Amino acid sequence: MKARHILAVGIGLLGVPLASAASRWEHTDETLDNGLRVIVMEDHSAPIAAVQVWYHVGSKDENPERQGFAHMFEHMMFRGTDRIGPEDHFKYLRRFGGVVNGYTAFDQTVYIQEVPSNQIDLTFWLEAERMANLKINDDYFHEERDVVKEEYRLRVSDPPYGTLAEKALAFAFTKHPYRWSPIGNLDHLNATTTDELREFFNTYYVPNNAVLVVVGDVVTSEILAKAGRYFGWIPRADHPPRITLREPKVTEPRRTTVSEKKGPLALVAVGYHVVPANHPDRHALAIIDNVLSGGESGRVYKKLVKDLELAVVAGSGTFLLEQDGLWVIGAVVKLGVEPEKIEAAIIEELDALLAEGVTEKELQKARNQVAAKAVREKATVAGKARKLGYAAVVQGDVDQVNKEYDDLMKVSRQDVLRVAHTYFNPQARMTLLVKPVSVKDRIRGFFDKLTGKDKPKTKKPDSTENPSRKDPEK
Amino acid sequence: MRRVKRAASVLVVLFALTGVSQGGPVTPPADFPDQPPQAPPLKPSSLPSAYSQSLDNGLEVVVISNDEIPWVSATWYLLAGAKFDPPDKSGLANTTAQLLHQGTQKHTADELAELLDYYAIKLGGSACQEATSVSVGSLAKDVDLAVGFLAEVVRTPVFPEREFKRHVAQLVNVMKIEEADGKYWADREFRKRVYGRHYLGRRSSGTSESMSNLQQQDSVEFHRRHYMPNGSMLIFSGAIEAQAAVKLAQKYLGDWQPGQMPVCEAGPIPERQATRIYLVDRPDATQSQIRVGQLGFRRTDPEYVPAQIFNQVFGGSLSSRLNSKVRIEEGLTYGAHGGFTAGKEPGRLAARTFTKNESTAEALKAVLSVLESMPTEPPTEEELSDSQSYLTGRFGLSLETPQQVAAKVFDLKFYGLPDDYYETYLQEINRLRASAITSFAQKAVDMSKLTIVIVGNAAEVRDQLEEIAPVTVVQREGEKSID
Repeated sequence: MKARHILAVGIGLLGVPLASAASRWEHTDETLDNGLRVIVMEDHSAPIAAVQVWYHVGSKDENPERQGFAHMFEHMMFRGTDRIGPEDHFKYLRRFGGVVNGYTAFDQTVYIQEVPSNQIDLTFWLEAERMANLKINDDYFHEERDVVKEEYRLRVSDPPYGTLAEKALAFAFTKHPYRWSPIGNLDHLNATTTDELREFFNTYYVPNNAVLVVVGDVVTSEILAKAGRYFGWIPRADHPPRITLREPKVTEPRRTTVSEKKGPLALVAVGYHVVPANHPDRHALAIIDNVLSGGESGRVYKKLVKDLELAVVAGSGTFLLEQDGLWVIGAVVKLGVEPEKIEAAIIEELDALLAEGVTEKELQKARNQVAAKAVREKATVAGKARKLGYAAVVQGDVDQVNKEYDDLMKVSRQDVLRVAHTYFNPQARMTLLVKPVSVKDRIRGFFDKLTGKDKPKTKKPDSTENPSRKDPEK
Repeated sequence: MRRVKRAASVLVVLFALTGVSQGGPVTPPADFPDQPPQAPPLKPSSLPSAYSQSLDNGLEVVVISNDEIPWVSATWYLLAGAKFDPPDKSGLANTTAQLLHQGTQKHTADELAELLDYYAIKLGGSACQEATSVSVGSLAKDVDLAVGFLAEVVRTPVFPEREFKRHVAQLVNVMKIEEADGKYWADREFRKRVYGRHYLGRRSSGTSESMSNLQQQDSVEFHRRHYMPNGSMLIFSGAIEAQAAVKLAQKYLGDWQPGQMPVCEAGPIPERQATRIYLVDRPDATQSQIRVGQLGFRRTDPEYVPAQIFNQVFGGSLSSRLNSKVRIEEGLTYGAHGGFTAGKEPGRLAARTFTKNESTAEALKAVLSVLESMPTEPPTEEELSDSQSYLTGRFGLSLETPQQVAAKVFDLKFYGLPDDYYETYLQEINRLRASAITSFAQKAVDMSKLTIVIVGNAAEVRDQLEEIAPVTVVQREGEKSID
């Protein structure tokens, strides 16, 4: 085994990517005259196809007074058209074993199908029909709004930590519309008229704001022809407006403590604004994440969970969005441990990273994990379509699917140091502590209220009621 | 393509000239179908063949070769799981499996973590009621190392005291979070009410109380008694040839001596009881979790096949009767689904949904009315044929990766089903008539003996529920320890 070890390190040092790691993504990228972009990748390993429509609209594009529209359409889009009844989209595709789904994120709304490869016509027809002729009326809206309210209770009001994501977003973003989350705001939806919804649809759900991704057992030329036939007639619309506002830089450390009524464990998160999803520095951040939390040997996990036994879960992660990004290092605190103790340990880890960067061996370990991931993410047609769609819509450059691997492999120890020093500036640090409210505190609060002692309490962080429902690329 | 583009652009120009713009009605061109385009279903796929060979010590090696991507998975299955957990120590089999890589005779936990992460090898174990599984996945070039690690952890784990305590504390802490959630209590209480003291009435991952009873010696002992090659299976899937896989299994597991397999003495599963609502009080709930069901049948029982159609019609999809009624028609929930599951031991019928406190009884009534329709209203022609074609098509779509195939092959071996089972099964599915589904439902569903579990704010929902069936308010076990 030792021999292999040395061999692998040797290969790494020579800078030769590990054998077989990243075969090219052979895809075609065409745009119809109405602006609909069509990305096709053939994969003949099984008689199936993934068909995804990526609309370049997410929660950040919503009016701040009307949060939840993109998510509302994730529901409305299944109510059909004059030709397609309310349950038909599902029904028609399920008849062939097809899988149908959709999700809403900050920058994109994605409609997903996985079907036998001979059902492309049917799938395109359904997608084109609803892009062109979606039925938006009071009845449908009100029914789906009730469903969204239950979804909201399920994900936000009822479960432990359900309201936390929303509070964390509002803490990290003060101006940019990333400050609210995709699930929406029930008060806003209650105040919404059907006309407002229709206008949002007509603005964003248009061919020149969509990318059709097809991966599977198909012939590219046939797919392009069918895309033209089914979608080509849908008129192009005005270019949808884009958010130009950017989150102001954090120039002094920010800190908040959130009280959690339902979750029993405390949490600690230290974060920084980093880069948007298409920025080259994201690669060094990914390597840092691997070193800090890529498996049980990752620095943060090893220190906080295994060595010090202060945390139950610990790690770091980079959340990349189209116009901004957050890098977060954090932990779920073991019962009975003071969160401040963990915070101190996290800062120590950060200081060590800033002082010494990563070792050559850690870098090689990270590269090996990158190589393995590059292989695994080609396992399914749905996974490939997702990566293509993400590159095209959120990163704004579909060829990132081919550049990414080489760029990750090129990250050096110096790059890691440079990036860490660029973004992990103590003056730009945001610290979020979540502390559970114990029964004792709750009883005390009750008596304080009775006796009027509750007045000079610490101010609660801004809390509108929505969580990050589905992280875009987690 | 170019011609299509030109046609499309001509249309766009035409629309522009006629003043039709976005938002207004747009007339599609003549070649845009008015009805959904039809294509016949693809010929049903058959399960790719698996190579199988037993080693002298009784370990069966199964290989599904597929070199689409240079990745290999190997999963070792041991037919001993949480059913052997002592009742006050539920979670033992699962914890034991999770701790295998936290130290062996050869490596400490830290050394193993370092090696596995360095080679980007994924390794992990878990246990359900019936079996333990330990999986490893690696790049094809590292498969020798990966199988070596797999063998090392299943054969020579030492469960170091410190790692054991740390891991159990970690699990107990995480369970405190689960236990703050209504869904958790609904599933836990439902399982307990259907299966009583039988091992299926307990969670294979344990509870925070049962986990607190575990000692390091319990895992040592569980491993000593149950981990053995005979009766176990190692399934390879991915970029590896059959002979190479067998050779690896022989190299790392061939000299493992067989042992004596313990027999599980499970108590009886209680009979179905008269319908009753068990209301688990969760005073801070904004939403009630609802479970409705009863004891079912085994995976190998003849009921299994009609039950698959029943499940589709009843609660298997967004357009099932259950979801149509509770979500689409009445807007009471975000999701309602349900059906029969089946295993080595009798499975259960379970319908699941959730709704706001005020509409708890309404949603429960809706679920009951749909369940009641099953024995009396046969599937419509569309429900039947949609279910049949879905199950057939789904089968083909679920053979995309070698790991998916491996899971199906495991089922055949685990339940002792013949190699051509899936072909026969799909034929049977497609031969079933509506009347067969109805008579299945008449036998399988007994509306007078349902177990109903509601987790919610008892003060707000109890009165509504009393009208439907007798209510027993139950305390959450271990509730006091939460705060």
